[in-house]
Amino acid sequence: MSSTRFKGVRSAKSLDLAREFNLYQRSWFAEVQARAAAGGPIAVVNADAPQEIFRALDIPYVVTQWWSSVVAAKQKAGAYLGHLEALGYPDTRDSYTALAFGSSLDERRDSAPWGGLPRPAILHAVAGGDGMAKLFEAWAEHTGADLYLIERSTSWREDIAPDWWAYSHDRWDELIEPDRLELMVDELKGLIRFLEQRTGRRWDEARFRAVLDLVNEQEQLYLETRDMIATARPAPVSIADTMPATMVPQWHRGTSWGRDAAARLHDAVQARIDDGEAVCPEERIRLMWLGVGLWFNMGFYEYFQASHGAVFVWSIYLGLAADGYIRHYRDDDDPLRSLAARFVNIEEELRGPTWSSQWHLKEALSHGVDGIVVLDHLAYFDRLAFKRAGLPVLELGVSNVDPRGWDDGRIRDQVTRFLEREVEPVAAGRRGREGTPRTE
Amino acid sequence: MAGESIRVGVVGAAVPSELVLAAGCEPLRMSGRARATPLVDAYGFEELDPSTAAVMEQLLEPGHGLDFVLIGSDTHAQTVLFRDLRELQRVEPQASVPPFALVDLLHLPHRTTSRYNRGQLVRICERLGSWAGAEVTGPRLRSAVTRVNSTRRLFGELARLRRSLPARVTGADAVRLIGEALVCTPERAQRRLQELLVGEASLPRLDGKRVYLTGSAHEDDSAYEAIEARGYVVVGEDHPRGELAFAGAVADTRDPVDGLVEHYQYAPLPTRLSSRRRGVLVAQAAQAAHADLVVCFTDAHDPATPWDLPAIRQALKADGLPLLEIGPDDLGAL
Repeated sequence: MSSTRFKGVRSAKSLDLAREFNLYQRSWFAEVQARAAAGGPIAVVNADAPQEIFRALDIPYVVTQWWSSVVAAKQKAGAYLGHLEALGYPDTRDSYTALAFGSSLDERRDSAPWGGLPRPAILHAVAGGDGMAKLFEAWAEHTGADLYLIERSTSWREDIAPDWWAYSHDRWDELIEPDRLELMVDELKGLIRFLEQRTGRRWDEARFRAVLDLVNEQEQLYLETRDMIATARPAPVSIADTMPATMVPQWHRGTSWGRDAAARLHDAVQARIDDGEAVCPEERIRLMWLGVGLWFNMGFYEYFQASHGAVFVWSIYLGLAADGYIRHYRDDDDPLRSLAARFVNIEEELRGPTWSSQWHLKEALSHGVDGIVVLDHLAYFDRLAFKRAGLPVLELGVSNVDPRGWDDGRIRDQVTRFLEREVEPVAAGRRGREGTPRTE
Repeated sequence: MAGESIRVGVVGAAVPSELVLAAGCEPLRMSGRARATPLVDAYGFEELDPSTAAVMEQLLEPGHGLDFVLIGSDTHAQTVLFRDLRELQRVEPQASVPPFALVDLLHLPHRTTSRYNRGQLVRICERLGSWAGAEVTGPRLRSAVTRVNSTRRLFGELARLRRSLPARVTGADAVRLIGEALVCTPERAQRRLQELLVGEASLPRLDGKRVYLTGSAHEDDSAYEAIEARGYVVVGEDHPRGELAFAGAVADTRDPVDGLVEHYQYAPLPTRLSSRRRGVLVAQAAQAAHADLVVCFTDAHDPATPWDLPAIRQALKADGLPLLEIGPDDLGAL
């Protein structure tokens, strides 16, 4: 099969929830399209932007990276990136975001995934990296949307607490430089004023607090679910289940549906553990997936279950939900500060050398992972941390949304060799320590 | 001047050298000129572009002669450099790496950004003061602003010579002068420029086709040499080691920090400008320099210029200026 024509494989999910959540997402998206068609303002925002502001103001929003994942899953990435190329924009940079921009240029709604992305009235992003602000500027120019960018500051502390997750829920103001927190609070105030004026909506502080409380409840349920999966042997579910079952409700955080969806995932995982159900009863190898979801080929995560008893048990989606989002605040606090605290350091948590590498290691160890498969390339300090812990790593060096570079046969061979030569000895040692019966 | 021998490496264009001078130290803009980077390569750091990797290589090598380093955030790679160095010193400390700090100046055109940047400059003044053992006072800052503004004025004169018809200074000579000024005292840079300006009448008349250079940053004069060896003359550019390095003047404000905040927040860094603004500025600068054509040179590690290109094309088309788009492999085929 030519790598440029690769068509991904859907995953066979153990939980019905992901399917059900997807149905809800479809009906929600149809409602967003209807509101857009009726002339209501629709926002498109990046995943690392403070969506809670839009929620509190009842402005429907679509998350760029979620929409890109839909486009990729519908095998439209090549065509949509081609739209950008035709206009002279790069088709290989920031593709997880650029793909959604490319889809905005598709005028053929009948063949677009889910009827197509509604024309946004508002685009919002954090001005991170060197290209993101420019990408959004071009997107706004081609759609006529109003663009509101906010700053991304960088942590300048010279000594940084490696175990940020121990502070982030309740002692977040100890983690963040005061100036950075103040900047984000100021940026959020500006965003609120802009949205009030642009949409005519009125800010309701009580509603905002209710949104934040729902978010904290939802993420607390993810934390408990994450911890259950970490300790259960064999794994009750794989990331083919948890990624979509976490990602879709994550974009509804701040609603009772989002909170209830997290509760249902929590209860479903608990029930499978109680009933002794496993995604791979002959589980021998536990894997960590480092990177965003491989949306065009979710079946990849199940390729090696039957042949090697290898189960992907960890991804950032549930992990970050558990450690990265909860921000408690007191009744006498300005709740905006807690929202700012959620987003000031999110890039540092995901990609900063200290925080991401130490967090990845903590999660790998707590989940009893035997090896790490990396979507793209691994940062040096992650590699060092895993090496010191004796955990092998495989870097695939591929895009998660662009199938043009995916060579399925080569990657299957690569992972097979990795599992057999490097991971299996580690897994055997772990199974021995844990007292798991050897199945070989 | 006491303390002048304290050498502070500066990474990036939006790190105010005025602060370093006010602390009685010597600012030296670090070069990202292409070089072998075996020490960096051994780590395999991700997200470092070649020029930032070259800077890191110098910091990992003994004998760089720097006492301290200030790292800016003009590009994502520079913030990565800071974070990588910080983590390296935490887990595998390298004796060659001098004490360093991040200068996190941001560039959206808002008051919120100005207030944040002000805090950054005050913090860096304190850090420099502790490094140098000398308080960075208002009068010392004002004096430093005056010293660098004098250099800026003379570089304005150099830009005039490049823009004149015919041009009197080659682009390669201009970027070499700028490069020298980034690693010496303001007074030495001024002497060098004054020598050239005094002899203005005897400068050559450069009649080649006039090129305005945009696109990715250049760490040395090699692209200029390649272009000018073919009979062209580069009369202006918009990268941070070119004319923009000393463009404008820092305003004389009651508190000199305010003038510095204003100047560096709005510094026209290609990575931080809006695409439309960049297109407009390129077209205006090319017209002001009487350019016959604009060359956009894009290297593979530049995440910003590819997004700017449609806006640059549009702005130049409106002005009727031809645009040549080239990559590193195309220089030889000009």
